[in-house]
Amino acid sequence: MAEKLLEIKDLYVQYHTDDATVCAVNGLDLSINKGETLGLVGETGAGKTTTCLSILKLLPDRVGEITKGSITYNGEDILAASEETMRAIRGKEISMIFQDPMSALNPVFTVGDQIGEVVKLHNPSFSNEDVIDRVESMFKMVGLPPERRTEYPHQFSGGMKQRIVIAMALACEPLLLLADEPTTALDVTIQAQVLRLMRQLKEKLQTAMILVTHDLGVVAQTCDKVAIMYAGEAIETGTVEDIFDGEDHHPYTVGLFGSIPDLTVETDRLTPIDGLMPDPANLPQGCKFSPRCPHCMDICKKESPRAYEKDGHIIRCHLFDNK
Amino acid sequence: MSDILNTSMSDAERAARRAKFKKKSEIVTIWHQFRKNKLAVFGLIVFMIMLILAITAPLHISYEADVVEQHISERLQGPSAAHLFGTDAYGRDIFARVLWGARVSMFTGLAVIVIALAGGIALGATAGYLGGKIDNLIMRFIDIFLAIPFTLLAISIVATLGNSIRNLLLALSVALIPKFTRIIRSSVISLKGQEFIEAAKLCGANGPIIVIKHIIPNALGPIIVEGTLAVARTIMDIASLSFIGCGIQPPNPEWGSMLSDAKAYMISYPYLVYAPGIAIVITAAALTLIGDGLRDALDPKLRN
Amino acid sequence: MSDILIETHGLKKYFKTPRGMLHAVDNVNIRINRGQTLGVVGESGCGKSTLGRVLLRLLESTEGEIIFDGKNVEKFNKAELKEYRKEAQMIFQDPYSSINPRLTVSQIIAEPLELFKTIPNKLDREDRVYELMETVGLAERFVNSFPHELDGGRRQRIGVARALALDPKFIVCDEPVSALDVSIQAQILNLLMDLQDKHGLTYMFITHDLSVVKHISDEIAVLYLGECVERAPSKELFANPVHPYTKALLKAIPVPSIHHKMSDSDIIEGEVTSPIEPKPGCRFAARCPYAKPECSTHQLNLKEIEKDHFVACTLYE
Repeated sequence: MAEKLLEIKDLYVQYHTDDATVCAVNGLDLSINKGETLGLVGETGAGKTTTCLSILKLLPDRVGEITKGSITYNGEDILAASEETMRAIRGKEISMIFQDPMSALNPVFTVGDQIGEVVKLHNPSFSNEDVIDRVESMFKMVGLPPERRTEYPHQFSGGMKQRIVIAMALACEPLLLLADEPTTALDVTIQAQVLRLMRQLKEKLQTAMILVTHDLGVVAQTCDKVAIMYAGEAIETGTVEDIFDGEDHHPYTVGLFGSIPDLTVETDRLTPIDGLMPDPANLPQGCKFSPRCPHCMDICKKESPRAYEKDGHIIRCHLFDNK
Repeated sequence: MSDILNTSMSDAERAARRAKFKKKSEIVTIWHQFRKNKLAVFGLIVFMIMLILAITAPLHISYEADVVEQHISERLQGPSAAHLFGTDAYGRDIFARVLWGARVSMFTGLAVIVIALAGGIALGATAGYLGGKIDNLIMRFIDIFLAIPFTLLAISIVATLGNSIRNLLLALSVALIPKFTRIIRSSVISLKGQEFIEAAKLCGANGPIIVIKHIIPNALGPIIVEGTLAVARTIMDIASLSFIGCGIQPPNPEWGSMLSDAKAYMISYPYLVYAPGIAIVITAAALTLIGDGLRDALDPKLRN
Repeated sequence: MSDILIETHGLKKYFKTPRGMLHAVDNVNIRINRGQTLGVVGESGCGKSTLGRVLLRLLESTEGEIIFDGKNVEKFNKAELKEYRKEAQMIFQDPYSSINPRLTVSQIIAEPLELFKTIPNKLDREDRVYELMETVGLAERFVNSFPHELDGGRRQRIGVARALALDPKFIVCDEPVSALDVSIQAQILNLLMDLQDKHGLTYMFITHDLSVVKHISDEIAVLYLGECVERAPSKELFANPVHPYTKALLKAIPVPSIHHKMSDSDIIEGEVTSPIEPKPGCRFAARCPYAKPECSTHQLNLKEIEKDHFVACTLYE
């Protein structure tokens, strides 16, 4: 039976800048079970990175604020947790990989030291030899020669750096890994290697993962569940079968699939979605997708749609009102 | 592709269209950003006050009577209604001398910066854009000047060429140009590799156009800030040089030389030090705040 | 008038580095017909961006010929080179660094018009700027906006408008949609294709994204470490990839379908080897699952194995 690991309910996150208040996340509902991979799909500005940072309470000081909602991890209320509790969680129970491997590593420390730092922080009783042992085993696990732990980040290629970052994130065997576009900056053949690595590690360590990406291909290959985000909401969630093979879809999802040039299908012209994602400092009334939606009805402009569910497949759209 | 332009639009329609989408002045945007920084605005106000006092000094102070003429009978008096900051060892009104000194310090300071900026931008842009041997030549030349301690350099120039305001300007500019050259060169080198420079080449732009239209406006950010801060330092440098007798000569009032004169009487008559000293500190501090504010205001990335 | 608008013979571009000669582009022969699109694909270090820049003489070639409309581009003098700029333009990858942040939209688009004096009258130039903005789908209200006020998609449209300003025949599109969101990518790709239909433009479309290039290209050239390893008409390349690298590249693309899962055997190991002082023979040999001893010694050339389908591989010698 699936065990719930992380649950996000009705989350609202805002950024306060000099000029305006940016509503980055607006009523997000998400959940992930142990060992599961959830694909968080959306374009720039959808609120995916903000969501990840909120889970770890790493939002920028003073500027970022979680204004409403709840995040529960393994029974623990994250929003009420103290900074001390969070520090114990970060790196040990929940880890994060950021998009750009070039800037995630500190150029003046050896990679072995950087992985070692995480290990030592969460295992203060470890001796130096224990730490080195763990570092070397992580290197082997991600397919890198353990001797190279004494080298510096600039001596590795992009793909290797991402492996090191993954090793760092998994060094303490966390239960949940937040991976923010981990392969976007990599060549496609290297991406395939890294995704395979992540799949293998996931199976071996039973780590749950939230994989943030805009690439539906990556989602199809690696995820069990999918949540599609738009303007800070999950407008469609379901299993990967629901999203890729299901019949009912949110119009945005349809638009996303229509925008990608698919290798397996012959098309003459792509069908992009008209317009742009709304300015998060100035969100429209009612359904946030309504200005771009080809099926926009009157009610869409006034009322924000509720979550309509069918066998675990949730769609936030007035079109599915009677289900 | 058809070359037939849509000439059906009348001049009046065009003018209307132009008015509809008016260009937002860059300066206005910069001012809006600057305004957000309270400290910077405070610095600007203080500096403006000093500037106005400096400019309007001749209106109520006579150079001959108030600044230079000695009234030995009134020497070393403390602050009073007649003499706001007291009188110095020669009976001269310190307030009048400080105000007049502001003119000297500020205008010399600004002149030095303008000269140094012009030289620095010209050399730095040339070295940075052309690279190779010319870059090497210019930078090694600059390095020679950078290797000599600033004060020593300034003193040597003044000592060799003689004591005059013109030579003072020369000395201070020569000492400052190398620093600006380096800053501009560094900005130019990093901008050179940007794609919009390649795009400009494809549009048919040649070297000079690229440097003047595309590179320098984008390289100005750091240099404007450095320039503002350099005015502050130059004012202090003028004071230092005058303090040791290489700068502005007496009886010309200058804050630094006033401090020098006050040396002998400091213990019994400390107010001789306060007025010029505070004037230097306030002006330098105000300029520094402005410089900081400008740096933030000019950075387009901080805008959104 | 020949069908071929631009072609290269034995084009090489090497860079001198402290560790030796970097072979960015090595002996590349391509040919693009008028009104067609050549897709150039490859991963980091394959030399595709360098190739685009050498064709436009933003970089000087080390060796080889570039023939545009019957003329030798590499031999152009200063005046001829300036004329060439009117005919061959580029759309850049990064919509943030490819436009001058201190100029307004109209200043950016008008710059080529001003520098070439093709439209002497200032008011006519203004009209042309509005016309170009409309062509690329930029609302007229942005005419005096600064780039930082616009999103990536709109900035890229500025780049397209600028490239079109002089009415070129040939445009090198250097990864023009890679930095954009998926739905914006689709808008820009459609725009580029519409422009090609309407104005008979010839494109070289450089990208690492194979799904994008299939959509827009007539012919595709696959580059690896500076060399062209396979070249074929678009449909043919996808239906019948021959070179082991092309096959690996195609298999590595994650398909957005749960019925086409990538198997571990599809994934090639290793990383790209160094382009500095490369060893003789096939540069892909180090990672190739079919590598034989000859691969490391034999100098390869593109060979036509089927009509218009070329490959450089010992398996097909």
